[in-house]
Amino acid sequence: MRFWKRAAKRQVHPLHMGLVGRKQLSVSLRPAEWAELIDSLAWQDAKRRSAWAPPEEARELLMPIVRAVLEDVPPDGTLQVTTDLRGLAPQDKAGPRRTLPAPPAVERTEWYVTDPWLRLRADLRDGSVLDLSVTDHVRHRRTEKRSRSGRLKIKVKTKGVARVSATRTLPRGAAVRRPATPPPPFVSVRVREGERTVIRTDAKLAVDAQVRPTPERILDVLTELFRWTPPKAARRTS
Amino acid sequence: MDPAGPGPAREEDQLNRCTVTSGFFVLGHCGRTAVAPCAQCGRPTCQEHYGPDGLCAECRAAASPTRSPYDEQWVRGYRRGYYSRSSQTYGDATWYSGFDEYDRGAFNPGQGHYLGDYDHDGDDGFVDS
Repeated sequence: MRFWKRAAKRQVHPLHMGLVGRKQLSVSLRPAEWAELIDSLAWQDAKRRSAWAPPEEARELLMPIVRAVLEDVPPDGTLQVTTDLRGLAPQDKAGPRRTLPAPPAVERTEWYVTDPWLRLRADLRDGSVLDLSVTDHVRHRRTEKRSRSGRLKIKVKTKGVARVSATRTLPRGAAVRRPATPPPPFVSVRVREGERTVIRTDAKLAVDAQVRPTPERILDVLTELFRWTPPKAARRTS
Repeated sequence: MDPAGPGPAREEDQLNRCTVTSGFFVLGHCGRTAVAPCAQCGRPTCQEHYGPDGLCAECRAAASPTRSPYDEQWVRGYRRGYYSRSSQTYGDATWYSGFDEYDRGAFNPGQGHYLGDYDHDGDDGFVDS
Protein backbone atom coordinates (compact mmCIF):
# COMPACT_ATOMS: atom_id res chain seq x y z
CA MET A 1 0.00 0.00 0.00
CA ARG A 2 1.33 3.38 -0.87
CA PHE A 3 2.25 5.80 1.86
CA TRP A 4 -0.52 8.30 1.14
CA LYS A 5 -3.13 5.57 1.20
CA ARG A 6 -1.91 4.35 4.57
CA ALA A 7 -1.92 7.92 5.88
CA ALA A 8 -5.43 8.46 4.60
CA LYS A 9 -6.69 5.31 6.25
CA ARG A 10 -5.10 6.17 9.58
CA GLN A 11 -7.18 9.32 9.87
CA VAL A 12 -10.52 7.61 9.42
CA HIS A 13 -12.24 7.20 12.78
CA PRO A 14 -13.23 3.56 13.56
CA LEU A 15 -16.88 4.55 14.03
CA HIS A 16 -16.73 6.41 10.73
CA MET A 17 -15.83 3.13 9.01
CA GLY A 18 -18.93 1.50 10.51
CA LEU A 19 -21.15 4.34 9.34
CA VAL A 20 -19.80 4.09 5.81
CA GLY A 21 -19.83 0.28 5.66
CA ARG A 22 -23.17 -0.50 7.26
CA LYS A 23 -24.87 2.92 7.22
CA GLN A 24 -25.55 2.34 10.88
CA LEU A 25 -24.17 3.85 14.03
CA SER A 26 -24.83 3.17 17.69
CA VAL A 27 -22.65 5.16 20.06
CA SER A 28 -22.57 7.00 23.33
CA LEU A 29 -19.89 9.68 23.29
CA ARG A 30 -18.86 12.85 25.09
CA PRO A 31 -18.74 16.08 23.06
CA ALA A 32 -14.94 15.91 22.63
CA GLU A 33 -15.25 12.35 21.26
CA TRP A 34 -18.06 13.45 18.95
CA ALA A 35 -15.77 16.21 17.68
CA GLU A 36 -13.16 13.61 16.68
CA LEU A 37 -15.75 11.53 14.84
CA ILE A 38 -17.27 14.55 13.09
CA ASP A 39 -13.80 15.77 12.08
CA SER A 40 -13.18 12.40 10.45
CA LEU A 41 -16.52 12.48 8.62
CA ALA A 42 -15.99 16.08 7.52
CA TRP A 43 -12.54 15.36 6.16
CA GLN A 44 -13.80 12.53 3.98
CA ASP A 45 -17.03 14.29 3.04
CA ALA A 46 -15.01 17.17 1.59
CA LYS A 47 -13.10 14.78 -0.66
CA ARG A 48 -14.86 13.86 -3.84
CA ARG A 49 -15.12 10.19 -4.79
CA SER A 50 -13.57 9.06 -1.54
CA ALA A 51 -14.09 5.43 -0.59
CA TRP A 52 -14.66 6.62 2.96
CA ALA A 53 -17.12 9.38 2.05
CA PRO A 54 -19.98 9.20 4.57
CA PRO A 55 -23.48 8.56 3.22
CA GLU A 56 -25.38 11.62 2.06
CA GLU A 57 -28.04 10.94 4.71
CA ALA A 58 -25.42 11.49 7.41
CA ARG A 59 -24.86 15.04 6.21
CA GLU A 60 -28.46 15.88 5.31
CA LEU A 61 -30.39 14.15 8.09
CA LEU A 62 -28.23 13.12 11.00
CA MET A 63 -25.59 15.79 11.35
CA PRO A 64 -27.85 18.88 11.68
CA ILE A 65 -29.70 17.24 14.59
CA VAL A 66 -26.50 16.00 16.24
CA ARG A 67 -24.85 19.41 15.88
CA ALA A 68 -27.81 21.22 17.40
CA VAL A 69 -28.17 18.86 20.36
CA LEU A 70 -24.41 18.70 20.98
CA GLU A 71 -24.43 22.43 21.61
CA ASP A 72 -26.47 21.77 24.74
CA VAL A 73 -24.42 18.86 26.07
CA PRO A 74 -21.79 19.79 28.69
CA PRO A 75 -18.21 18.53 28.29
CA ASP A 76 -18.79 15.73 30.80
CA GLY A 77 -22.25 14.83 29.44
CA THR A 78 -22.98 12.17 26.85
CA LEU A 79 -24.93 12.07 23.64
CA GLN A 80 -26.16 8.61 22.64
CA VAL A 81 -27.21 8.09 19.06
CA THR A 82 -28.51 4.98 17.36
CA THR A 83 -29.16 5.52 13.71
CA ASP A 84 -29.93 3.37 10.70
CA LEU A 85 -29.54 5.25 7.44
CA ARG A 86 -30.19 2.30 5.11
CA GLY A 87 -33.63 3.59 4.21
CA LEU A 88 -36.74 1.51 3.57
CA ALA A 89 -35.27 -1.03 1.16
CA PRO A 90 -33.84 -3.68 3.53
CA GLN A 91 -36.17 -6.66 3.81
CA ASP A 92 -35.79 -6.88 7.58
CA LYS A 93 -37.77 -3.65 7.91
CA ALA A 94 -40.75 -4.91 5.89
CA GLY A 95 -43.69 -6.59 7.55
CA PRO A 96 -45.66 -9.55 6.17
CA ARG A 97 -47.56 -9.10 2.90
CA ARG A 98 -51.30 -9.61 2.84
CA THR A 99 -53.64 -9.94 -0.08
CA LEU A 100 -56.43 -7.40 -0.39
CA PRO A 101 -59.84 -8.06 -1.95
CA ALA A 102 -59.76 -7.24 -5.66
CA PRO A 103 -61.83 -7.83 -8.81
CA PRO A 104 -60.99 -10.76 -11.11
CA ALA A 105 -57.73 -10.48 -13.05
CA VAL A 106 -56.45 -8.01 -10.46
CA GLU A 107 -54.19 -8.89 -7.58
CA ARG A 108 -53.61 -6.48 -4.73
CA THR A 109 -51.09 -6.88 -1.95
CA GLU A 110 -50.22 -4.61 0.91
CA TRP A 111 -47.32 -4.43 3.35
CA TYR A 112 -45.89 -1.99 5.81
CA VAL A 113 -42.28 -0.97 6.30
CA THR A 114 -41.20 0.28 9.71
CA ASP A 115 -37.94 2.15 9.88
CA PRO A 116 -36.83 3.39 13.32
CA TRP A 117 -33.94 5.33 11.91
CA LEU A 118 -33.06 7.61 14.79
CA ARG A 119 -32.88 7.24 18.57
CA LEU A 120 -31.13 9.89 20.57
CA ARG A 121 -30.56 10.53 24.26
CA ALA A 122 -28.64 13.47 25.66
CA ASP A 123 -27.70 14.78 29.08
CA LEU A 124 -28.20 18.52 28.76
CA ARG A 125 -26.25 21.11 30.67
CA ASP A 126 -29.27 22.41 32.56
CA GLY A 127 -29.57 18.97 34.16
CA SER A 128 -32.44 17.75 31.99
CA VAL A 129 -32.42 14.63 29.84
CA LEU A 130 -33.60 14.71 26.24
CA ASP A 131 -34.91 11.65 24.40
CA LEU A 132 -35.85 11.63 20.74
CA SER A 133 -37.04 8.90 18.43
CA VAL A 134 -38.00 9.09 14.78
CA THR A 135 -39.69 6.16 13.06
CA ASP A 136 -40.93 6.10 9.49
CA HIS A 137 -44.02 3.94 8.78
CA VAL A 138 -44.68 3.49 5.08
CA ARG A 139 -47.56 1.53 3.56
CA HIS A 140 -46.97 -0.09 0.17
CA ARG A 141 -49.85 -1.23 -2.04
CA ARG A 142 -49.03 -3.20 -5.15
CA THR A 143 -51.63 -3.82 -7.82
CA GLU A 144 -51.08 -6.29 -10.65
CA LYS A 145 -53.60 -6.25 -13.45
CA ARG A 146 -53.54 -8.51 -16.49
CA SER A 147 -55.37 -7.25 -19.56
CA ARG A 148 -57.23 -9.45 -22.06
CA SER A 149 -54.23 -9.42 -24.35
CA GLY A 150 -52.13 -10.85 -21.54
CA ARG A 151 -50.17 -7.73 -20.83
CA LEU A 152 -49.29 -7.25 -17.16
CA LYS A 153 -49.52 -3.81 -15.53
CA ILE A 154 -47.98 -3.23 -12.12
CA LYS A 155 -48.58 -0.18 -9.97
CA VAL A 156 -47.11 0.44 -6.52
CA LYS A 157 -48.39 3.22 -4.30
CA THR A 158 -46.78 4.32 -1.08
CA LYS A 159 -48.07 6.43 1.74
CA GLY A 160 -46.36 7.07 5.01
CA VAL A 161 -45.83 9.01 8.16
CA ALA A 162 -42.85 9.70 10.34
CA ARG A 163 -43.64 9.48 14.00
CA VAL A 164 -41.46 11.84 16.00
CA SER A 165 -41.55 11.47 19.73
CA ALA A 166 -39.50 13.50 22.17
CA THR A 167 -39.36 13.85 25.93
CA ARG A 168 -37.46 16.16 28.19
CA THR A 169 -37.11 15.21 31.83
CA LEU A 170 -36.36 18.35 33.78
CA PRO A 171 -34.03 18.52 36.76
CA ARG A 172 -35.47 17.97 40.19
CA GLY A 173 -37.63 20.86 41.36
CA ALA A 174 -37.58 22.77 38.08
CA ALA A 175 -40.82 24.58 37.30
CA VAL A 176 -42.49 25.04 33.94
CA ARG A 177 -44.52 27.86 32.46
CA ARG A 178 -47.15 27.39 29.78
CA PRO A 179 -46.01 29.10 26.55
CA ALA A 180 -47.88 32.14 25.28
CA THR A 181 -49.19 30.29 22.20
CA PRO A 182 -50.17 26.65 21.59
CA PRO A 183 -47.91 24.45 19.45
CA PRO A 184 -48.66 24.12 15.72
CA PRO A 185 -51.32 21.54 14.79
CA PHE A 186 -48.81 18.83 13.89
CA VAL A 187 -47.30 18.83 17.41
CA SER A 188 -49.08 17.50 20.48
CA VAL A 189 -47.70 18.10 23.94
CA ARG A 190 -48.23 16.56 27.35
CA VAL A 191 -46.73 17.74 30.61
CA ARG A 192 -46.53 15.53 33.67
CA GLU A 193 -45.62 17.69 36.62
CA GLY A 194 -43.91 16.09 39.58
CA GLU A 195 -40.62 16.01 41.39
CA ARG A 196 -39.03 15.77 37.95
CA THR A 197 -41.42 17.27 35.43
CA VAL A 198 -41.57 15.46 32.10
CA ILE A 199 -42.60 17.22 28.89
CA ARG A 200 -43.49 15.02 25.96
CA THR A 201 -44.18 15.98 22.37
CA ASP A 202 -45.40 13.80 19.53
CA ALA A 203 -45.80 14.57 15.87
CA LYS A 204 -46.83 12.78 12.72
CA LEU A 205 -45.11 14.10 9.62
CA ALA A 206 -45.97 13.06 6.09
CA VAL A 207 -43.29 11.03 4.32
CA ASP A 208 -43.12 8.58 1.45
CA ALA A 209 -40.63 6.07 0.15
CA GLN A 210 -38.24 8.76 -1.05
CA VAL A 211 -38.83 11.73 1.22
CA ARG A 212 -38.01 11.79 4.89
CA PRO A 213 -38.86 14.58 7.33
CA THR A 214 -36.31 17.36 7.26
CA PRO A 215 -34.06 17.87 10.29
CA GLU A 216 -35.65 21.28 10.76
CA ARG A 217 -39.09 19.69 11.09
CA ILE A 218 -37.71 17.32 13.72
CA LEU A 219 -36.12 20.24 15.58
CA ASP A 220 -39.51 21.95 15.43
CA VAL A 221 -40.89 19.08 17.50
CA LEU A 222 -38.06 19.51 20.02
CA THR A 223 -38.69 23.25 20.22
CA GLU A 224 -41.94 22.77 22.14
CA LEU A 225 -40.01 21.02 24.94
CA PHE A 226 -37.95 24.13 25.52
CA ARG A 227 -40.69 26.73 25.17
CA TRP A 228 -41.96 25.63 28.58
CA THR A 229 -38.73 26.74 30.22
CA PRO A 230 -37.63 29.96 28.50
CA PRO A 231 -34.15 31.32 29.22
CA LYS A 232 -33.88 34.10 31.71
CA ALA A 233 -34.18 37.36 29.83
CA ALA A 234 -31.01 39.35 29.74
CA ARG A 235 -31.51 42.86 30.99
CA ARG A 236 -30.58 45.61 28.64
CA THR A 237 -29.13 48.79 29.96
CA SER A 238 -30.31 51.02 27.15
CA MET B 1 -23.65 31.78 40.82
CA ASP B 2 -22.35 33.52 43.87
CA PRO B 3 -25.18 33.89 46.37
CA ALA B 4 -23.47 36.90 47.91
CA GLY B 5 -24.57 38.91 44.92
CA PRO B 6 -22.64 41.30 42.73
CA GLY B 7 -20.00 43.43 44.35
CA PRO B 8 -17.29 45.64 42.88
CA ALA B 9 -14.76 42.79 42.58
CA ARG B 10 -17.32 40.42 41.12
CA GLU B 11 -18.51 42.96 38.57
CA GLU B 12 -14.94 43.44 37.41
CA ASP B 13 -14.58 39.69 37.13
CA GLN B 14 -17.70 39.49 34.95
CA LEU B 15 -16.44 42.26 32.70
CA ASN B 16 -13.54 40.00 31.80
CA ARG B 17 -15.63 36.97 30.90
CA CYS B 18 -16.38 35.77 27.39
CA THR B 19 -19.95 36.62 26.45
CA VAL B 20 -20.28 34.57 23.26
CA THR B 21 -23.67 32.86 23.28
CA SER B 22 -23.49 29.09 23.59
CA GLY B 23 -26.07 26.34 23.36
CA PHE B 24 -28.93 25.78 20.94
CA PHE B 25 -32.07 25.26 23.00
CA VAL B 26 -30.43 25.73 26.41
CA LEU B 27 -28.83 29.11 25.98
CA GLY B 28 -25.88 30.33 27.97
CA HIS B 29 -22.88 32.57 27.74
CA CYS B 30 -19.42 31.09 27.50
CA GLY B 31 -18.02 32.58 30.69
CA ARG B 32 -14.35 31.73 30.17
CA THR B 33 -11.80 34.43 30.82
CA ALA B 34 -11.83 36.92 27.95
CA VAL B 35 -8.59 37.67 26.15
CA ALA B 36 -9.70 40.42 23.75
CA PRO B 37 -12.78 42.24 22.46
CA CYS B 38 -14.24 41.21 19.11
CA ALA B 39 -13.09 43.59 16.38
CA GLN B 40 -16.63 43.84 15.02
CA CYS B 41 -19.12 43.66 17.87
CA GLY B 42 -16.76 44.48 20.73
CA ARG B 43 -17.94 41.75 23.06
CA PRO B 44 -15.28 40.25 25.36
CA THR B 45 -14.09 36.99 23.82
CA CYS B 46 -12.08 34.08 25.20
CA GLN B 47 -9.15 32.32 23.55
CA GLU B 48 -11.37 29.54 22.17
CA HIS B 49 -13.88 31.86 20.54
CA TYR B 50 -11.39 34.48 19.36
CA GLY B 51 -10.28 33.92 15.78
CA PRO B 52 -7.09 34.96 14.00
CA ASP B 53 -9.20 37.50 12.11
CA GLY B 54 -9.96 39.28 15.39
CA LEU B 55 -13.64 38.29 15.30
CA CYS B 56 -15.64 36.37 17.86
CA ALA B 57 -17.24 33.06 16.86
CA GLU B 58 -20.64 34.69 16.30
CA CYS B 59 -19.33 37.41 13.98
CA ARG B 60 -17.15 34.92 12.11
CA ALA B 61 -20.16 32.67 11.49
CA ALA B 62 -22.17 35.64 10.24
CA ALA B 63 -19.35 36.87 8.02
CA SER B 64 -18.64 33.54 6.35
CA PRO B 65 -21.70 31.30 6.59
CA THR B 66 -21.20 27.64 5.79
CA ARG B 67 -23.80 25.20 4.49
CA SER B 68 -22.10 22.05 5.72
CA PRO B 69 -23.23 20.84 9.14
CA TYR B 70 -19.86 19.10 9.46
CA ASP B 71 -18.37 22.55 9.92
CA GLU B 72 -18.15 23.64 13.54
CA GLN B 73 -19.33 27.15 12.61
CA TRP B 74 -22.49 25.88 10.91
CA VAL B 75 -24.62 25.66 14.03
CA ARG B 76 -23.90 29.28 15.04
CA GLY B 77 -25.12 30.57 11.70
CA TYR B 78 -28.06 28.17 11.66
CA ARG B 79 -29.28 28.95 15.20
CA ARG B 80 -30.47 32.51 14.65
CA GLY B 81 -32.24 31.59 11.40
CA TYR B 82 -33.82 28.59 13.08
CA TYR B 83 -35.19 30.65 15.98
CA SER B 84 -36.65 33.10 13.47
CA ARG B 85 -38.33 30.37 11.39
CA SER B 86 -39.57 28.30 14.32
CA SER B 87 -40.98 31.44 15.89
CA GLN B 88 -43.18 31.77 12.79
CA THR B 89 -44.05 28.06 12.81
CA TYR B 90 -45.24 28.39 16.40
CA GLY B 91 -46.77 31.83 15.92
CA ASP B 92 -44.82 32.77 19.03
CA ALA B 93 -42.96 36.06 18.69
CA THR B 94 -41.57 35.70 22.22
CA TRP B 95 -39.64 32.57 21.16
CA TYR B 96 -37.42 34.56 18.82
CA SER B 97 -37.36 37.74 20.90
CA GLY B 98 -36.34 35.70 23.95
CA PHE B 99 -33.36 34.33 22.04
CA ASP B 100 -32.54 37.72 20.55
CA GLU B 101 -32.75 39.43 23.92
CA TYR B 102 -30.53 36.78 25.43
CA ASP B 103 -27.98 36.97 22.65
CA ARG B 104 -27.83 40.74 22.77
CA GLY B 105 -27.65 40.61 26.55
CA ALA B 106 -24.06 39.56 26.00
CA PHE B 107 -23.31 43.20 25.34
CA ASN B 108 -24.38 44.17 28.84
CA PRO B 109 -21.51 42.93 30.97
CA GLY B 110 -21.98 42.45 34.66
CA GLN B 111 -25.34 40.73 34.51
CA GLY B 112 -24.25 37.28 35.57
CA HIS B 113 -25.69 35.18 32.75
CA TYR B 114 -22.63 32.98 32.44
CA LEU B 115 -24.40 29.66 32.40
CA GLY B 116 -22.74 28.04 29.45
CA ASP B 117 -19.74 25.82 28.92
CA TYR B 118 -17.99 27.18 31.95
CA ASP B 119 -20.88 26.98 34.40
CA HIS B 120 -19.25 26.26 37.75
CA ASP B 121 -21.87 25.78 40.41
CA GLY B 122 -25.15 25.41 38.57
CA ASP B 123 -26.90 27.42 41.23
CA ASP B 124 -28.55 29.70 38.68
CA GLY B 125 -30.35 27.32 36.33
CA PHE B 126 -31.91 27.93 32.97
CA VAL B 127 -35.34 27.19 34.27
CA ASP B 128 -37.45 29.82 35.96
CA SER B 129 -38.33 28.59 39.38
